[in-house]
Amino acid sequence: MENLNLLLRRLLDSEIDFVLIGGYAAIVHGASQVTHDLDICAVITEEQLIKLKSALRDLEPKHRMNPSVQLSLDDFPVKGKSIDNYYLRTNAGVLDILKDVSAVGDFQKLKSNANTIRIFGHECKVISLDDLIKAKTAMTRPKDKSVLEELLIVKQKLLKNRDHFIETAKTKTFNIFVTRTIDKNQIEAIFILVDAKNDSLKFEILLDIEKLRNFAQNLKSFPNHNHDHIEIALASLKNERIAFSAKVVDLNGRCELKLELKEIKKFKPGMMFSKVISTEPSLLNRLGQSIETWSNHPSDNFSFNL
Amino acid sequence: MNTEKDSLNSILSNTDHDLIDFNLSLPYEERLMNHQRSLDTINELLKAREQIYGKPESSTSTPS
Repeated sequence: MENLNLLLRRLLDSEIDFVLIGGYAAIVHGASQVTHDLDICAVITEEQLIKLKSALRDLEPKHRMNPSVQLSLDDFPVKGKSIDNYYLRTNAGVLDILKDVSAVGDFQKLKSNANTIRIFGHECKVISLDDLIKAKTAMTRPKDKSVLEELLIVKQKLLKNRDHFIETAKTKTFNIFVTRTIDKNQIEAIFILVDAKNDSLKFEILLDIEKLRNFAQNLKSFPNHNHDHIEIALASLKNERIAFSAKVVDLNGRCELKLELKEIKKFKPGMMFSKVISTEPSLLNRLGQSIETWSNHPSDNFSFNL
Repeated sequence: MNTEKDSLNSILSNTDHDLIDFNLSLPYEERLMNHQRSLDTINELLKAREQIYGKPESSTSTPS
C-alpha cells in the first residue's frame, strides 16, 4: 500500500542530504494534484547509499526500470560502483532519486535555492516554488502541465498576500506568543498580523534570547533626550522569509536588532502586529525593560503596547 | 506563444481556487497528511475498479 509519508519520514530520519522535488514538493507548496511517487534530488555517495539502504531496509526496495530483472537495492549498485539516478519501487511506494533537475540545475543549485520546512520532527529542504515552476514548465506531460497551472496560482496568491501584508502593517501594538522552547538560547514564537478586514497572517519566528538581551542592554545606553525615534517594522521579504527589525535611531548612531521570520501561514483570528514609530522618550525604556524582563523568562508571553 | 501572464490570466479565469486556498491555509505537515488520505482513497477506488473490470495491463511508471 502506498504510503509516501512513511517513505519521506524514513528519508528524514536517516539524515540523507536531499531536496524534495516533483509532485510531493508541489503538495508542500499548496497544489492539490495527487501524486503516486516520491521524488528527491540527491547525490548518492557511498555514505548516502548506506543511509538509503538503512532507511528502506524493510521496504524491499527494487530497481524498477527493467521489468524483467528488478534488482534489489542491496544487490545493485555493487560496492565501489555508483549510479546517478535511482528509480526504486518499495513496499511503501515509488521513490525516484535524481542527481539533478533538468531546466534548473544540479543538486547544489537546487539546495542553495531550496526552502527549509519543518515536518515530521525534522528540517526538510524543498525545491523552491520558482525552481519547481521552471522544472514543470520544461516538462510536456499533461499531468505536469496541470500541476504547473496550480503552482502559478499559488505563486500569484503568495505575492498578493505579501503585498497586502506590507500595505496593512499599520496597527499599533505587537505581541509575541511563545510556542516552544528549543533550547536555552532559542525559542520558537509567533507574531500574528490582522489587517482591517480581519484577515490574518501568522508568522513563526525563532528568537535568539541572547540577541534580545543585548538589544535591551544597548537600549539602556541611549540617553532619553538623544533618541530620534523607535521603529519596529518589516525590513524585507524574500521567499516567505521576513526579516524583522527593531531599531532605535539616535543622534549617536543606532541600535538594531534583526529577527528572521520562518514562514507565512494563514491564521484566524489574530492579534495586532505593527510598525511602531514613536518619539516618546519613555517608550524606549519601557521597550528595553519589557524585552529584558521577558528574556529572563522566555516561557512567558511577551507583549508590548504603545 | 502565450506569455506567462496571458497563460496565467487564462488559468485564473477558469480554475477553482478554493482547493488551493484551503491547502495554503494548512501547515505543511497537514498538506502531506491530506494528500496521503487522498492517495488512500484513490487506491481504494482503483481496487474497486479492478474487482469490476479486472487488472489493467501493467506498465512501468515513468520517472517524473
